[in-house]
Amino acid sequence: MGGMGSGFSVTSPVIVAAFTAALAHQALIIALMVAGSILAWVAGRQVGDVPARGSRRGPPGGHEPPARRLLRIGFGAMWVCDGALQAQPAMPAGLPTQVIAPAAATSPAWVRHLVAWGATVWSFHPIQAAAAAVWLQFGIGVWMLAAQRGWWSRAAGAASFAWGLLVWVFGEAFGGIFAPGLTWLFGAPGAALLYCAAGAAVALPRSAWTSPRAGRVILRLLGALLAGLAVLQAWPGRGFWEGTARGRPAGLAAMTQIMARTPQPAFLSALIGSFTSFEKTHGLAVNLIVVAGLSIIGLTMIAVPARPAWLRPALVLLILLCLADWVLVQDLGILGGLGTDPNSMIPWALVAIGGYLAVTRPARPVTQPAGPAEALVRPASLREAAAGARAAAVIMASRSPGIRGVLVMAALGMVLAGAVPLAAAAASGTASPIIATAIDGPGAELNGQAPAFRLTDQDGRPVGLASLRGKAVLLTFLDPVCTDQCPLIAPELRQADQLLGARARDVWLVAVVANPIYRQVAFTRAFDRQEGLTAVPNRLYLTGTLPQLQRVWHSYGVLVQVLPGGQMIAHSDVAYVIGPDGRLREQIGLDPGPGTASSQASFAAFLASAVRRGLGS
Amino acid sequence: MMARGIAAATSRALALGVAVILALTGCGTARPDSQAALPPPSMAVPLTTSLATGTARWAVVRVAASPSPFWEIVVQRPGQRSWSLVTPPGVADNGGVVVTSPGAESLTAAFRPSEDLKFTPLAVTRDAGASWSPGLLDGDLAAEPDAMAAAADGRLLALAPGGTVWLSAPGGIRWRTVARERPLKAMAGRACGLVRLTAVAFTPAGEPLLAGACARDRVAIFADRRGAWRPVGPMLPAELAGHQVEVLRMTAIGGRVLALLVAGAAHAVSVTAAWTGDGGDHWGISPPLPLRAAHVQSVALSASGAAGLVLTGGRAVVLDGPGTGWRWLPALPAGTVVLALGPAGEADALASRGARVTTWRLASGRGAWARVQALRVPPP
Repeated sequence: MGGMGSGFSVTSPVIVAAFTAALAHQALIIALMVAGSILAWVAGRQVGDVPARGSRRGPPGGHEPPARRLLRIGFGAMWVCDGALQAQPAMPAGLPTQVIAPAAATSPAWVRHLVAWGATVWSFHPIQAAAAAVWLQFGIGVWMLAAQRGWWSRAAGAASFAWGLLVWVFGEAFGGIFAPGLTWLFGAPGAALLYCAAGAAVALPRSAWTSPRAGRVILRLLGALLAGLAVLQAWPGRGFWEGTARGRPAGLAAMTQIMARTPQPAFLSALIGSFTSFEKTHGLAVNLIVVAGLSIIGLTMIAVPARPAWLRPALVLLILLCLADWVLVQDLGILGGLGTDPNSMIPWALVAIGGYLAVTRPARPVTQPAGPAEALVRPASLREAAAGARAAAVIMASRSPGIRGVLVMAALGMVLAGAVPLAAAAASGTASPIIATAIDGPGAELNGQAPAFRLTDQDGRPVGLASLRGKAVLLTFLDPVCTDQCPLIAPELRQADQLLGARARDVWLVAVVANPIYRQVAFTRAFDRQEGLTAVPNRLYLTGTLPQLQRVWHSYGVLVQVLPGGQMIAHSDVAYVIGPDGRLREQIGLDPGPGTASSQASFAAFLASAVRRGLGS
Repeated sequence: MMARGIAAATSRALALGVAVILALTGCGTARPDSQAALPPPSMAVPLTTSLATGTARWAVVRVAASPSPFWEIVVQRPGQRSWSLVTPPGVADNGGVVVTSPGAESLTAAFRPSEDLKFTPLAVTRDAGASWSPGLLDGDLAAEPDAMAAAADGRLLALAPGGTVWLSAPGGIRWRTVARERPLKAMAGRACGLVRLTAVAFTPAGEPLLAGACARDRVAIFADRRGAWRPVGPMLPAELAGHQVEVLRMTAIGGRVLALLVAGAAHAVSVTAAWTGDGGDHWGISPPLPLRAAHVQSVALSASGAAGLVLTGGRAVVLDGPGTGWRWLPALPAGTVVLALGPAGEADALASRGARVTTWRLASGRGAWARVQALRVPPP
């Protein structure tokens, strides 16, 4: 009812069912793509004039450096895990409100604005976006795991970097680095930034791994980040030196207290609760350990990144700190609400170990002459890349696809299955009506004569329903002095009119006043001006005497209730589609929900499609 | 070796740069409690108020029983001892209510726009709230207790947030713009340094008056003289010279126009009342009342021309009219938000707590408040 608020659940069965169906369809498409590719490959191998299997040389480009292998497999597995988390039923509707908005809440306005834009893009097509996130992350993960060497493997690293960057900006609001309260303990500078770093490392050419230099750069950057975060952690007045403030948990204790109360296994809750109690009474000691630990590790990595004897204890200390923080503060990253990744501690540890391995166990230089296989590994220019691709085709055709090849094909299929529908939806420019359907349910089909009425329009002219014959009518009931829902519905009507394009000429958008007191023509005009409806030529805002209005409300089943002073009128949020023949076609719930740009766009699409049905198109 | 050394130095410098930038970024945004950028304390009073029209006493009370506050209008009808809840139905009042009365049992209530509403619905009664008829101001209304004024002939004067002033024909129809803040600022000149308009009123003769805040020691009151606005504010007493002055309230009561002035800044603020019976040609000034650290919470106006202030700290003070001094009342009952002044020197204190409004009475010459009534307001 207007003026009575609205409910919208992120676990709406409509959205969950659509999400599940989308995932199932796309999984089927991926399976078919992979099967088709395998068949084509095998057939091509049978038909083509290809060298025998035995002509294959050893691994192209030599063995994979241990550091790269760790980063590739570690972050590949992380992406797969993240893809699985993205498949949570609440993700399509919940990500913008429960993940993205809170991440940006305390950031500067420009960050909030940028992130809100991303959230709106997601919310315009929540099903396609959520499914795309699942398949893209699964796909990148499998791709990284399967592609061991060469150009395809480096491309997987680049994909990880690119997607990680998008997630870092739009999903993590730059990891909160522009917000107050930034701390390593809560995940700064954002897990996705570490995914980016790992992706960039995997995308490096093999030559970069043949000296300890890459490892030193990685360790120095990590060290700088840790040292900077240690300074922040030690900065006075940020609330981390005290366990409590004015008798209440402060800083870290406040955070862990919230985490301890989230749904999770009892032993974890008890563990975090105990740590909270300890932190409340020993806040200074805990922060001192954190500051000292981060400082020692950071300075060691900056100062002596080439001395394993110094690095090893620092690395062990970092892993211990990460482990403690992951369990006691970050609650494994996935238990404190709608988790999208296991948070930043595992990535920290992986990147640090990767840096250490790159310093201590660099790759051996490749001495064999570059054949087709080498060209596949290291294209230095576009021409070389083209040559590499031709060579790859020869090599691929020369081999059975093998499990890795099938997996890479599956990964590419996943990426395409996610990206293509999202790109197509985004290109359409029209929001999905799924949010509107989730809030109000699908329209109910009707088949009967629309009750007649005769009222007065916003210009004081008499208008009867009979005079509107020949065009479809979208009939709504709006209170002109309503402060929340009716002013949300009006722009939806305007947007729906725009979506109808040329067909809008065959439609009347008709609103009837739903307020027994503020019902004069002056109010309908004021409302039209307020909502910019004066520019919509096919709209009518009708009113009349109280008995006239009451007859219309009654005949269309609209409840209008005068509440005690100080409150707006309560009325049914309902709309009817009346066909050009004057017969009722559909009844639509019109609770506008949260009134966000995406929900309004969704409603506009919903209304436009209902009107098109009413027109018989 | 040389290249390796350069590379090592570069990565070390890069690392140092990242650390410094990170530290500066975090430190720069981690001081939300900084006081340096806070604006100076506002002198504005909230919309909670009361006014007496000779036969009825009205009060607007802010009720904070729900997540967003709302306002209730209560009336003490002629001959009645108790107060009645008469808030007009049909429109939300979360944006605040501004009331004005041309006298007798008439009252016009303006509902300031809230949320997505952009214009101002009105409700008019001529029978002390027994029935209401709707009206419309197709624009926003300033959040000031005297943002609207009613003349005896039914004309209305309204002040918009940007300083535009509209005047209606009798009956609250056919609104037209009669003043804008920018020309008034130019006319007021540097001697005043007009900051903003704060109040509108009609003189008992029906001439529009505007009032505002001056950055310097002038009183920004303007009268419409043959279609042109002219400054008509009073001269301030010597002890208030050199201070900024804001017209806190301005309204026509008891056959005169009463303007309550606040002069000073921070913890050296005084309140002074000024009366005029001839549209601003001549003014009478009350002695100043130093507020020290207190703030004005609400103002009550009586038909006889008296004014009562509820101050922070549970204190109240009354000025009975021209030629009198400020009179302190006994400590107010807890939760008092506004006084309502009676014709014989008595006063009611209206206290708001949750969804309950309690009234207390201080009979003339008595030293203690007596509880009279408790009104339950339906929370939205």
